[in-house]
Amino acid sequence: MMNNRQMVSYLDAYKSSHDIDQLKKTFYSLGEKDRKRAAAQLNDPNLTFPTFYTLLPEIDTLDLYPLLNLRNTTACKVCSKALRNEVLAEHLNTASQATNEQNYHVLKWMFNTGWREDGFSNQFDQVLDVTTALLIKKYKDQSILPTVVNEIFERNRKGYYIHDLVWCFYETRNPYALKLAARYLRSNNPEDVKLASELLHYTSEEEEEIHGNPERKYESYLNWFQENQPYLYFTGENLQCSSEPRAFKVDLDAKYLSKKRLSASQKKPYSLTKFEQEKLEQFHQTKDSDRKLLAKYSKQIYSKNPQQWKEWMHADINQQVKYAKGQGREAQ
Amino acid sequence: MIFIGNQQIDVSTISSGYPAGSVEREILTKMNAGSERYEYSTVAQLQFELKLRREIINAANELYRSRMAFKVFRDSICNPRYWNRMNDGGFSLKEGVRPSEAIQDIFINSSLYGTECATAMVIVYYKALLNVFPANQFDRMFPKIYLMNWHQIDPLLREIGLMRSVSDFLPGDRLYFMNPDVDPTTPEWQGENVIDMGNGLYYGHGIGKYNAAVIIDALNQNRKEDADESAYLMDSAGRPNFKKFADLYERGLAAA
Repeated sequence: MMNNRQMVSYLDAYKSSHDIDQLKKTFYSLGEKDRKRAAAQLNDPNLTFPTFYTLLPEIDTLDLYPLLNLRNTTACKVCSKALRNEVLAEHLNTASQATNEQNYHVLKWMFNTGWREDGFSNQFDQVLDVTTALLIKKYKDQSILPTVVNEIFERNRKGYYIHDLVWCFYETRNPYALKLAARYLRSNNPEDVKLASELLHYTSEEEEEIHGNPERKYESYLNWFQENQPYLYFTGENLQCSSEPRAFKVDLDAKYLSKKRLSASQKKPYSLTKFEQEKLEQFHQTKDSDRKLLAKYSKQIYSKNPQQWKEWMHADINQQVKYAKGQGREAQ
Repeated sequence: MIFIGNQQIDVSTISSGYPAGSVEREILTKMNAGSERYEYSTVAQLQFELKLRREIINAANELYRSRMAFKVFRDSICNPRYWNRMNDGGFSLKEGVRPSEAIQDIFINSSLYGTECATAMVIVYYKALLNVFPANQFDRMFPKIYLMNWHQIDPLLREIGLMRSVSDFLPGDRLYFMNPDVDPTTPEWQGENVIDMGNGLYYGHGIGKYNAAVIIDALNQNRKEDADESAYLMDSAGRPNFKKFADLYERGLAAA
């Protein structure tokens, strides 16, 4: 069995016991004497992406590109795209092209080994952001979400740039992302709570009477999430277009008709019967506040007693409102 | 439809005060024909909105003609004499600097500045307000400024960061072209914040001043390989609280 020590590459081990400049000098000296050996160290399967990234200038000066393996040339290509580095891109013109699957594994390597050194430099962070965007937008990899959420809050505490990561977070188009961010509502750090409230668009309307108690705020959000999660849809809003983006909204029509959406990103998630169309027409003619009330009441009654829900659905819309309001008073 | 003190007005009584072909006339025509109810307490309140909308367009034109570069937040630049560049890429007003001078400097020494499209919109609003309000009053209204897209907006300007569904787009509105299938390696093309310049034109920092088709085409050029959704103009707008600023303006005049 291999232990952790054996799995660390030579260059990573050297980096952890010396400073960056020493690592760069030592690597450069090695490359001058023996390019193949230097390249072999870069091609070590256990090498981490931050160490590889640190040595990019030396790789360039020593012109090691032809000796790099597919993982490293692919990583170089991602860096060149993220940093708009056309000179680097030209060096890689003749390098082999990775398949989609190979690309994915390289991105995962960059992501998994990269985050431990987030904040190393502005450009390095930019590469990590693009890596994250590719994994989420191109490869639909949702498994990285917990790390992404964690890093958004880590960076925010340090005052670093988070907007591209927040964009990735929303672009998962997965309401589960909201649940991960909701954990920070009960953080001891006020910055975490502020950011979580912003990301969740958790306004006073939803908060009702929480009075700033973090634990209650969190519980209240979870209750709201549980009630509305099947009806959430993705709007596309983000921090570039709005100060208070509402990336997910409740599909009140679906909630009123008790029709769960299969996915938050679907445009037309369900078909409607003639009866349902008629009900929706009436539903749309009611006030905003009544629509919210009717949708909430419909959800509650459907969960408790589907037969009663059917009878209620067949009632006239004004009767429905009256009943829902009456029940609301009883509940209070 | 325009209402002043709950009474629908004959729009010609107001529009005759503005030259033919002016942006004010275009705004009034759209308001009058629109399905929304535009309500004002006084004629002066409506006239102030027209004035500020014109200055938003003027400020957008000034920025369009300036040499401020398009830069993503990580590469943003500013004149260190007036601004501190923050770790998140935003610009924070330096201590002891007059806010009005710092905003003015963005247009005077524009080549020392570079930012992305949302922050450019915030700069447009500050400049428009500076064109309307006396510098001393502007300095009192905005003693601290943080320029970083919609994230750290001054409470007075809160509404410009909010996108609200509107029935009519009016010149001077802040709009957004969304690019849902953007190439993940160029997130700055995820959308474009623009000012409605009137006559079917929009100004977006980095793209320029064009009609909607050109802006959509520019965004579509930066989509991912297997894109199937075109960029589009969202049906919502960001608008400053014109009435609040009208009130501040009136009070400023009264105090002068």
